[in-house]
Amino acid sequence: MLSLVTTAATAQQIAPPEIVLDQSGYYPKLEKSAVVLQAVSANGFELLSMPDRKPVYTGVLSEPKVTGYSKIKTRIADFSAFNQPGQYIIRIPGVSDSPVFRIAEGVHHDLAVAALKAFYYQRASSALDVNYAGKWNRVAGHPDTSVYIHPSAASKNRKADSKINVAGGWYDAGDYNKYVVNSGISTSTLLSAYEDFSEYFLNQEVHIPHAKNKVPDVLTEAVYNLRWMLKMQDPADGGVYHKCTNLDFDAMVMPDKALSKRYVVAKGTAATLNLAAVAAQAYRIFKHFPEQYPGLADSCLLASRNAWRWSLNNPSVIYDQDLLNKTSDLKVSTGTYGDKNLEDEWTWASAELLASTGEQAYFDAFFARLNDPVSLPSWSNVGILGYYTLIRCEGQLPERYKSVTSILKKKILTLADRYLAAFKTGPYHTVIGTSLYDFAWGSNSSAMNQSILLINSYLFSKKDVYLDAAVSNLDYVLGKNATGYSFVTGIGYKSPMHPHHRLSFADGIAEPVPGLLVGGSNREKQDGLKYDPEPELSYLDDANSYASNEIAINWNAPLVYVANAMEYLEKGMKEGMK
Amino acid sequence: MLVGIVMLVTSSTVFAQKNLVVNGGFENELDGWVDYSAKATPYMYSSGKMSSAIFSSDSSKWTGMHQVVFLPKNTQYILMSAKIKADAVSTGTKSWNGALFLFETLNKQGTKIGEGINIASVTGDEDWKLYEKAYIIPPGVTQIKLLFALGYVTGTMFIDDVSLKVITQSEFEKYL
Repeated sequence: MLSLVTTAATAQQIAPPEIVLDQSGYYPKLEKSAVVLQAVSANGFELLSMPDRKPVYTGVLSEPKVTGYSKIKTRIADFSAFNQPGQYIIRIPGVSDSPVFRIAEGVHHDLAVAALKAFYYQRASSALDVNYAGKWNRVAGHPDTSVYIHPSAASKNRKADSKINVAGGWYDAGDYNKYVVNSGISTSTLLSAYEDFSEYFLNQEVHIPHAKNKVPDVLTEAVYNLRWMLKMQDPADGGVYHKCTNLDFDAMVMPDKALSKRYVVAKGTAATLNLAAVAAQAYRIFKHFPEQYPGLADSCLLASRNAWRWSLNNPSVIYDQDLLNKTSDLKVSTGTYGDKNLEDEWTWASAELLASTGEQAYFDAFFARLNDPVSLPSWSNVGILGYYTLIRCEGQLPERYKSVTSILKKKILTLADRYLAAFKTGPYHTVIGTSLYDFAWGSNSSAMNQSILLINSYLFSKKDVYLDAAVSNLDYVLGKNATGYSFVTGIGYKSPMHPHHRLSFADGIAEPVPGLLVGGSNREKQDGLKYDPEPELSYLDDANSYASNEIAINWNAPLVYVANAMEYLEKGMKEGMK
Repeated sequence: MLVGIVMLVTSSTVFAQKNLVVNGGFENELDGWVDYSAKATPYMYSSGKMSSAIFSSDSSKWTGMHQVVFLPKNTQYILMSAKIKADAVSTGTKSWNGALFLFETLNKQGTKIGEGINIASVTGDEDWKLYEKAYIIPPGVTQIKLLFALGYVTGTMFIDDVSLKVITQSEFEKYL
């Protein structure tokens, strides 16, 4: 079965794309370009309207560009100046016509909805109803209502082998375990999308179960994981368990067939600060929904304060799975999410608590770490999330703390301007892809987090060029890349069919669960499979390729942010409402 | 009223620009400095008539000098700077080994907080060059220890025009 799958995938991959573009389409008022991957003698290109094949625009191809890290040469067909909605192809003498693509307002609506709904499909402990999940409906698995306390997590009130209820939450990735540190950035990214674009989300319909309670779907979905994160906190002391997990990864079966014992493992400072941050952010949001979620906001603030207090008393409890396995017979081999540098977690949590309470202690903790450099966020590098928050909440900060945001903005703009330079000169006319090091594990999520940084830069600077750069990376993950794949399941004419994702693999349905962003090109190839040697082609649509074709909640969350942000911001541009 | 405002601004600017380092130009030889092997020298300088020189022929040793600077209350932003010249400074076994300009943060008890932070690590030959570091003072830090040393290398380093000034936030942001 697997070899057949692999053969089909390989067959699909051997057709080299000649002109690659955003398979979801382009916004009329933003950057629009395609990339020619074959050598051509022509210097011009034409846009033809479809279906009548009438020339509507003529442009000049860029000079050939080299990547500097591969043998691939590219030429850019930039048609940003053309802004008429419709369906088109690109024609260049000497290569096949491009596939049909759209220019339209709201062109990424389906993507924006699908990316968010993907979280619904990732729900643990819950049956997915056919009315919402369609053909991907399934019975519940992993109830997680009686999860064992692993010896590493034992405490005075919770002895080893006793049980607690940690039901709910999202499956982390292609596996069925649940990790607080990865949940933190994922949940926060959804909450940040809401905080930045609340007006937009109030009217979005994703078709997930809710109580017709006028709560935006993005919040309904975020609450599903938030409530699980809250359960991962030991109410006796405020510490948070690192993960809810099997001892080993499940087989490639559906959730209801995965029946291994589940454990909560070791409290740690990273997990606890993640909860402190997310719960503080949730407090800010859910205090505006007291009827729909009575008591939730206050519970979140209390949980956050308790988590902060535990962290102050336990400032550097690192999750070390190797050490844990040396001291316990119940050895754990699932994802580690170990992080030895927790300064960025302190930055993030202090910023969220400062934004939510305005209290001096949190400002002091944040200010004490203001010399630290910040960079693109990931599950282990979350400091800049706190910067986004304080800039977003600047208006609500006590007056004496407001001025610090100009430092944060400057640090963010330093990164944004670097991305802008990459966008302008890069071989794919995208931010990602200018460096060999861009093609690492989860490269597509890096692309989306770069876009979030650029969107944030746009929000406080109002410079359109940051939006152009941000949307260029969306073009990248949707097909304007060397592989010619749209890396989002169910979006585009060539998208992953065999992600490393147990739900998609085991459900007996040909199409994978839709709306999932796979990891993407990864020159490090940790799964040992045979890839194309070029860094930007190091991708396999193969269920075994966990290094390039797995999915993960922390990769989908920035896709949700970017796709929905662009839908909202593009509308504003159209209406001149910036 | 207008005069009062102008005087206030002028006074604030003067305060912000004051060099808190004692004898940063080494015109009074090594007054104010704790030295382990440094020597004041009139034969090489960037400004004035003197500089400090540190020489080492033993790459197994750390040799140099330091000065602890007390910060005014509620200091939030500082600028540290010095001019350094390197003569035949070898490379060490670690990437940071060299002619070093670094600092440590201390609390009011004089206890070091965290690790030292490198501002410059110079090897080989290099003419006088200005090194600067703008820094945010974390809560609880009341003193800065400025250190110059040959860190596990041989050669000679010259130091001149050492400065530590309190700066404003807007001045700090110029260094971001």
